[in-house]
Amino acid sequence: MADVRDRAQLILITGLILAVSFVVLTLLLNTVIYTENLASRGVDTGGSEAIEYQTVVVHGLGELVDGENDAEHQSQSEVRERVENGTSGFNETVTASYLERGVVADVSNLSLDDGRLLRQTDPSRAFTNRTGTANWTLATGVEDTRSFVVTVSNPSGSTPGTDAFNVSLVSLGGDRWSVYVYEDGGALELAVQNVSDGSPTLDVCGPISEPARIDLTRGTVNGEPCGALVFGNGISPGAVYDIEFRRGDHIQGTYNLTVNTATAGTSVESQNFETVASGTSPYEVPAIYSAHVDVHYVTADLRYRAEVRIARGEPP
Amino acid sequence: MSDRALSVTVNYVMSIGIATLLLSVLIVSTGASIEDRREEAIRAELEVVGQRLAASIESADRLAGAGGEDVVLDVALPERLAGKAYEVQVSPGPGSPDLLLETSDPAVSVSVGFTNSTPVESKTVSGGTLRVVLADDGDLEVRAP
Repeated sequence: MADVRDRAQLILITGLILAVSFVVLTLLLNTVIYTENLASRGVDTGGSEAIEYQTVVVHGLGELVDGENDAEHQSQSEVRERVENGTSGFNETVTASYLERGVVADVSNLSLDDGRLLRQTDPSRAFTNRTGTANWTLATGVEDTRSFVVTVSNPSGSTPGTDAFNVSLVSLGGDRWSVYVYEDGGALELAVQNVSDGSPTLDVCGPISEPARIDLTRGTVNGEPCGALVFGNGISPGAVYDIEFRRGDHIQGTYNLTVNTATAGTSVESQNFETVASGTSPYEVPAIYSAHVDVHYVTADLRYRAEVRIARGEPP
Repeated sequence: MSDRALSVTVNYVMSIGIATLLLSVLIVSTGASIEDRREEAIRAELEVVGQRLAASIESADRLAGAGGEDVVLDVALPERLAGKAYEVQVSPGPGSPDLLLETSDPAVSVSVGFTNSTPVESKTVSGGTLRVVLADDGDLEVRAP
């Protein structure tokens, strides 16, 4: 028999093996805990913030462009300069606030497309041209129009197509899209004639309270979406068109639209407008139609760059 | 008389034998249970890792959809799960799981789906920190950084 001190080796070895096993088990459970911890963390590595920043840029610069257009500067170079300065100011402010969070968010390569803002601001004036002609053309060879809003009241004439005011887009090929504003039993109503229609569809999106704010490019009436109102519906995409008012003396109100004059062939019928801001007559002023910028958003885990075009109120 | 056919040696061998048997059973069953645990741990971890990668691919997809021309997204994932290296197969499309994560020993595989509108390139990469990139051909690609 061995010495008393040599006993229990088996139990000792087994105990050791079990101890090691339990340590391994603990480590295993530890990695599970780590993974569960990983699972409970947010999974987005900044993608949402990048899109949020891009939205901030589109919204901010959109406001800036429209604000400068509304300011009715006298020359194209002045409105360009204001927008360029405004953009760099906007960029500095926003970039600084993102830098504090360890994010490089930046706007660069600004380029601007010139346009003309056509408007009438007297709500009690008829939709005639500068000299009082009722059937007239606002612009010819137009490819892009945005923020075309008319606010109208007191229509006269109850038969669209015969004696009611209409705004029409007429393509080079002769396709015509028209929106009529007419009167029916004392109420203002709207009719739309798409290129393929033989006659106008009467009383769309009613009832309409006066003054009626009709956003032709966005397709809303008094802020409510109007499914029947689709800007230039039927005129093939990319085709140029003329913008006309017919029977402008059968309606009164205000209007605003911006046309893109950076595209070749687009011209505003200047003889129909005053060239300085006027409280009583329709007028045209220099404007920016659209802006293009590169948006950069860089964090430790994410690099994102996109070229963004800013032209608010374009047809969808 | 009751001590007959017994010797100190027989007694010793028998008790050693029985003890060895009992202790072996104990060790083997502990080992087996640890192996089970390891498999379960790997499965849970593959699932989490797969979902993180899927979320990053979807995030890159949204960025590409928002007009992104340059999209690079790093996703930090562990290189080993419960001490085992793993592989990720990206194979979107019908007939196969979008993401298949596998370890070979023990053989555990987990599939995870994702939704995308930008096409994602099929590829197999080994586990660890991965990078989701919008490649020149307009497809999203999962690469090692």
